[in-house]
Amino acid sequence: MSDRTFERAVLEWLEDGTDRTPRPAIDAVLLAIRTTPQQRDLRIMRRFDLMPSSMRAAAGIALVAVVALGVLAYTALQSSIGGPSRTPSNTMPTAPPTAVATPAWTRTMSSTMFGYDAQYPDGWRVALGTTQGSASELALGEHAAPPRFWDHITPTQGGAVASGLFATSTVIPVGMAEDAWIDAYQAPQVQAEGRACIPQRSTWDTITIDGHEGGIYSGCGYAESMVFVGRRAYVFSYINMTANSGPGGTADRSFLETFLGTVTLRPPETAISTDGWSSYHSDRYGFAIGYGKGWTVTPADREWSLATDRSDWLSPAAERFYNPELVTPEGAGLLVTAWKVPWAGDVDAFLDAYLPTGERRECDRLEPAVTVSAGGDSALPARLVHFCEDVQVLIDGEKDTYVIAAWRSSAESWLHAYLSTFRVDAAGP
Amino acid sequence: MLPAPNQGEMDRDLVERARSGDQEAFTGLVHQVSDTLFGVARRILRDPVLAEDVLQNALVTIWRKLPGLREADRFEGWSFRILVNACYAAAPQSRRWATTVRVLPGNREDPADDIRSINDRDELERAFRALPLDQRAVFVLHHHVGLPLVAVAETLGIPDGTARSRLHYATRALRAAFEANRAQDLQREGRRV
Repeated sequence: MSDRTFERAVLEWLEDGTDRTPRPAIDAVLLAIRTTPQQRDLRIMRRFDLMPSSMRAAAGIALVAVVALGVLAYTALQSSIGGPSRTPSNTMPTAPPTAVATPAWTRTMSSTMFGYDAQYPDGWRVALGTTQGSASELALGEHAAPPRFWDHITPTQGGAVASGLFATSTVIPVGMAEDAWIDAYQAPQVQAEGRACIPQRSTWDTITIDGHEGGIYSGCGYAESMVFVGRRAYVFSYINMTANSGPGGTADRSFLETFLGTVTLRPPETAISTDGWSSYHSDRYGFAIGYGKGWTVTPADREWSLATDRSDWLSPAAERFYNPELVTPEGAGLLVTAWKVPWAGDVDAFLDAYLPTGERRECDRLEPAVTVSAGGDSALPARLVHFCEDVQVLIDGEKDTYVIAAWRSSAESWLHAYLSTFRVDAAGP
Repeated sequence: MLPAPNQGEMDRDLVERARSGDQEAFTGLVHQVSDTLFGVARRILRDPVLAEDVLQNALVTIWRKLPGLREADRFEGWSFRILVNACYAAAPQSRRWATTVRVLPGNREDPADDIRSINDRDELERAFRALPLDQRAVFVLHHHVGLPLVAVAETLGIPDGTARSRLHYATRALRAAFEANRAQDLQREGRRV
């Protein structure tokens, strides 16, 4: 390969994208310098990585209180709709006509990763999460950079303020009760901040979110709500370090309630409809699987083998379904692949061969696995496994193991859609 | 009519005024340098949202520390150093960096080319993200900003040899990833024949 080929590829990759500075970022800086003296050793609070517990524990002094923008919006909103409601309606809040420079909640977001739609105030921005986290991962701090286990919905002008809405969801491991999951989520926070700041479930108030009954509670500088839909736990937090940061604060909670009133829950497991999908039959592997409009099908051209193909995500031995138009939080097109492995039963043993212990990284989350059904009327046991870069389902077909992979960790909803259409031939290949 | 100052003189004037606390001058300076600084941060961090935060922090730091800048002519390099330090402070080095690749225009005759190009960039992205930030900074300042290695070293406050070795390691890692990926492609295409 020539140097020129390499250099051209590197330069194309390096120069990709726009360097235009987002205008709100400049505005935030220009606002900040109005109150920031020069040459004084005044500690500037870094707009550090926004995440509930780490912020609660670490945030100190907010230098520029521009978060008041959102609070003002809420205050004006409440004055127009008669105060906070314990059970918010699902009507979209609007800015009062008399509000001065207060944004309306007219922006809409859709979180395919965590399975909900919501509205948020004008002038705020959204950074979607990239990865579904475990209870402890949600509880521990995260940075603004990927992997993000939370959607971050923050004031655009909050450059020096650690405040915002945060939302996430995750599947509760099989065999784990809701209370046990809550304990696992709260334990690191209790250790860091004390029980007074992390209310127990028995003290929560009830709230209805999109028809599902959940809990809402106030901690130290934050309000949080949790609701369970099937095996999925949703958590919504509002952090406001500029306001009441003692136990039981109520101002933040009202703002969160307003946000929750706009939320529609769509668990990723059931989010994608396969109505109108075409069916593809793999003569090579003896199964049928659906695919949607806009997906390109590339048939496998040889048999898949563990030795040759286990680390090749573009292996031609897999039936490939590719859609360049679908953009995940990572920004990539989506690739779904399916193939059969000559491996009879015992998915655990297959996993050991597929990804040996020595090659596993921290982000490969093989345990606990979730059992799902595949195969239509004759349901087959299967395991859902989150690897670092993708999510796969390993289907125990008794004589063989079938694998369906969605090549982005955020593509679990698509994996479930493909899985729901998967059928093994009755007589085998 | 007074002759218009050239770009360098205008920058110098803005820097001098901003250094003495002129917020309006600093506003002009921000508009002049923000895109360049954002581009550098975005490339080093590979995350536009984080780069935006880092840019804000860096610009506020630049404002605070401006009175300490002895020579206005050195403003650009000095601001690069503050920005790179802000990148170091913001990046979560102990955590995995998720892959981010961009969707390419699907205008090639063979759809496999799309996947291959995405795969090329994916591999470059992975390899770059695996690099330490100090190597990334040298690579970006040299190849994107176009600074000679001597200037990169001066900007970052490191010896010339260190800058050279960081660039070497970064380039070697990217080349290895790229060539391995291409070899895999060729092998795959060979199987199809």
